[in-house]
Order: sequence, then C-alpha cells, then structure tokens
Amino acid sequence: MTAVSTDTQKYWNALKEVMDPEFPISVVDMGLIYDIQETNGAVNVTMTFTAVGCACTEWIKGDIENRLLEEQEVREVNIEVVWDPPWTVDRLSEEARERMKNWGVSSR
Amino acid sequence: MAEQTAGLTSFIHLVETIADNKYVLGDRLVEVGVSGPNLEATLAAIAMAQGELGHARLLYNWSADLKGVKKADVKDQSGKALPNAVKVNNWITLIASLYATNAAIDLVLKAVSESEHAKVASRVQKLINEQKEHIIYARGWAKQLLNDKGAVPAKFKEALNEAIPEAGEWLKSVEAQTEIVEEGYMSKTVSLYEAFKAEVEQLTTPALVSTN
Repeated sequence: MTAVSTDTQKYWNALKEVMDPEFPISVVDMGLIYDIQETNGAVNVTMTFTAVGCACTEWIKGDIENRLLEEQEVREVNIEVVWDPPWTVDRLSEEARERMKNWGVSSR
Repeated sequence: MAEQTAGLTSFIHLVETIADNKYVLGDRLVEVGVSGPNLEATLAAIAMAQGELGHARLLYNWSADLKGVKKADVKDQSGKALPNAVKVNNWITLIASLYATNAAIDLVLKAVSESEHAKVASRVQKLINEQKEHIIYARGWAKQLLNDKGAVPAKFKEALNEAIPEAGEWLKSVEAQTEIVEEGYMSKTVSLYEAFKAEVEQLTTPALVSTN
C-alpha cells in the first residue's frame, strides 16, 4: 500500500529557499510551483516557468531537485512541467511584488 | 505512449514541422536580427530568438513524448522547415518570413488549442500567448517596410510574395491531412488557408501580394 502524504508544507517551505536565477525571489513566490505531492519518499512537483523560452529551466529544475533531496526522507524527486494554466504576473506573491517594487521593477 | 494511429503520426509530423520552423526562425533572428536597422529592432530580435528557440525546444520535447522516445539534444532542424525561412539572409526577408511563417503557425496552434484531447490543448496555450507578440512585431515592421522609401517597399513585397504563398501551401497541406482533425488533435472550425488569406489581406492589398 502506498502512503500519500497530505502534509507537504515542509517541501513548500524548502522551495522558498530556491531562488529564481534572474531575480532573487523564490520559485514559490514567483508562483512557479503548482503542486507538490509526496509518496513513500518520492516527491512529485508540478511546476511551470514564466516563459516557454526561459533559458534557466534546467538550472531551476536542478536547484529544486537538489534542495528537496536534502530532506532526510526524500529519495526521489520527479518534476512535471506544465503550461496550463499559463504563468502570468498574477501568480506573484505579495512578498515578490513588494521586493520587485523595491527594485523598481513592475509586477503588472 | 498512445497507439501510433494515422492521425497521431501526422500530428507528430505537424509538431515537428512547427518546431523546425521555430528553430530556423530563432537561428535567423540571431544571425540576421543582430544587424537590424536600429538598436531597438536588434534587441527585440534577439529577445524573440530566445522565445522562438524555447518554443522549438517545447515542441521537440513534445514530439519525443508522443513518439515515446528519449529526448535528445537538437543540433539542427530535421528538414521540415519552410525553405523560405531557411534562406532568410537580410532584414527584409527576415521580417517577411517571420510574419508569414508565424501567422500560419498561429492559426494551426489555435486549432490545436481546441483539440478534443485536453493534454494536447494545454501544451500550446502559453506558446500562443507568447507568439502573439512576435506576430505583432513582424506585422508592425511589415507595415513600416511597405511604407518605406526608395527600393525598400518593392523589395519587401518581393519577399512577401515568396514567403506568403509558401506558408499558404503548407496550410493547405495541413488541411489535407484530415486524419489529424478526425482523431481530435485539431479542431475544424475554420479553414486555415482562408483565415491566413484574411490575415494577409489586412496587411496589404491582394493586388500587390499574391496569396495563391
């Protein structure tokens, strides 16, 4: 029997430490992470990117995988990239918007 | 992997054709776009190159998924790109090809976005959103070149007269592959070729630019 964990908050918190390489804003605050599920040590992340042509996709995926593997019980990380719903600035967290505002970058 | 039906085989070919065109446009936007007529045009061309190459990556990866094979590094197009896009060698032919090719691709992808298969439709929506800006850019430059001075308008019309019929013929060939629609990979709400003609006619008069 497989045990599907409903408590994935710790993984969301962990990914708050993974920064977008272009802006020092976490992938969570950027709104790139759509879902996280954990089953018997396998963490399945559903995510998107800001643009299809994002040059940092493999870099970000690698950072996410490495960070989650730091958690003691995690044996495996599977990342599924989806494009629906498409990312828009509406997915930025309030924290991300505030930080962008401080740098003079529009989040609209 | 789904069973390789006739419709799926044709659809994979279609996805690879679009990927090849985007690969080639990305390459040409860098090679030719870097010598654009002004700094803004050049910067935009390079930014769009990244977009086009990203779209190509998504489509090549999708094709691998549909075929059930491992994703491989892509070092060149697979030979399905429109010849007109491949031979782009100056700003005028770049804009003509960027406009005609992406306007045609846009119609196909919009039909794909109305696919009966939810997973197929979900793959293209973001791409369509991003591509819209490329088309607006190319259309804007096309209008500028058509209204330029000296030999530019005639040269640009010449380039359009090569790019548009080729893209139109490709759309006709896509429509002829009825198995794609029959198996639900694409909607059949409108004639792709007729929609393309209407788009082109908005840009210029039919008397000046052939759509046949």
